[in-house]
Amino acid sequence: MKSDGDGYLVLRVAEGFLDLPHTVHAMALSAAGVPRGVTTIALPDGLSVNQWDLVWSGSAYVFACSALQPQSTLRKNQGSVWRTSISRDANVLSPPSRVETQGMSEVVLASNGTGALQVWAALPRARLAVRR
Amino acid sequence: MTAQLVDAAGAALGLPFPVTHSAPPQRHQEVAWNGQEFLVVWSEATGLFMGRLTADGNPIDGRGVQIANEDAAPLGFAVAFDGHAFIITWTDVSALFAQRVRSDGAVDGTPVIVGEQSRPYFINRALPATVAEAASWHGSTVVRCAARCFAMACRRLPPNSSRSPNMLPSLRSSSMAATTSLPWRHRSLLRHRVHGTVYPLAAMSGCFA
Repeated sequence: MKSDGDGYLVLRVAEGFLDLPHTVHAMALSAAGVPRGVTTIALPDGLSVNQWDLVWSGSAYVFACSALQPQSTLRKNQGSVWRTSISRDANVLSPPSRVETQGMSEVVLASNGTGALQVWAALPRARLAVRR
Repeated sequence: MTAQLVDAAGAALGLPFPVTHSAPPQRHQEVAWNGQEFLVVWSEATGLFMGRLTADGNPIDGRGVQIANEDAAPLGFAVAFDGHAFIITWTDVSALFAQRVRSDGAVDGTPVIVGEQSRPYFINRALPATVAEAASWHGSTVVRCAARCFAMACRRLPPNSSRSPNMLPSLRSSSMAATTSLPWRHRSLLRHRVHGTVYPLAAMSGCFA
């Protein structure tokens, strides 16, 4: 849930091991909590939303995510990175666009009030540490 | 680790660029904006690092500046801007730390221990304060004490100080099944859930005064 200063956008990303593909359900609320609109965001080619973030950029909500492979019984990272924008009444202003083709896992956003910075990175292989 | 600036409508501004020249792989990242620059915080196998970016996306700190020396990557971390300085919080297996970073990128003093715990803290987000409380930091932390025991703890760092933080009351309940939180200015929407019933967190006096 993020605020635009005069309302909110509530996101729910379907979470379930086998109920792929995961999509994003968005509901816009006024400051008083009155629904302004709803929408669903789905990635193309059956990709599922994996890690995601949302910010208010100043005139739109910017949503970014990484993707999971379709029809996978394992939550295998497909690694592409996507971005879309959503209005304050939950209309999708621009369809999801791919900004990285593969190999990435983590995505974060930060707003500067007139735009945003999107950062993404691969998730390195796990490393176990033993404290002595 | 790569970044790209986007305009208010979400359209790309220029090409993606590297955030750091660090050779080791980076994992996890958080970003905050102070009105002039971004501060990106990330972890590597040897600890926690930070690097500033100008408003137009130029990295200032090259490889990045190490702010926590660990023999393992931190368990979790977050960054926020409190109106005067960036506040970076992170956890290891024993404690939750906070470190101020001035807008010029200088690390302000040494990390303070916000809380110690026999079990790891799991940071939700470091939440920025309101403008009226810009000199203070307001953090919201979800603490997992045991498998079925959750708690929410809040600590306030004295303004412009790296001394030990005030110890505001912690919300701790073995029956607190889940917590959610929003930035401080929307505190009326802060909620916690106990046995399926949602209560306004702001009604809990003391913690968010």
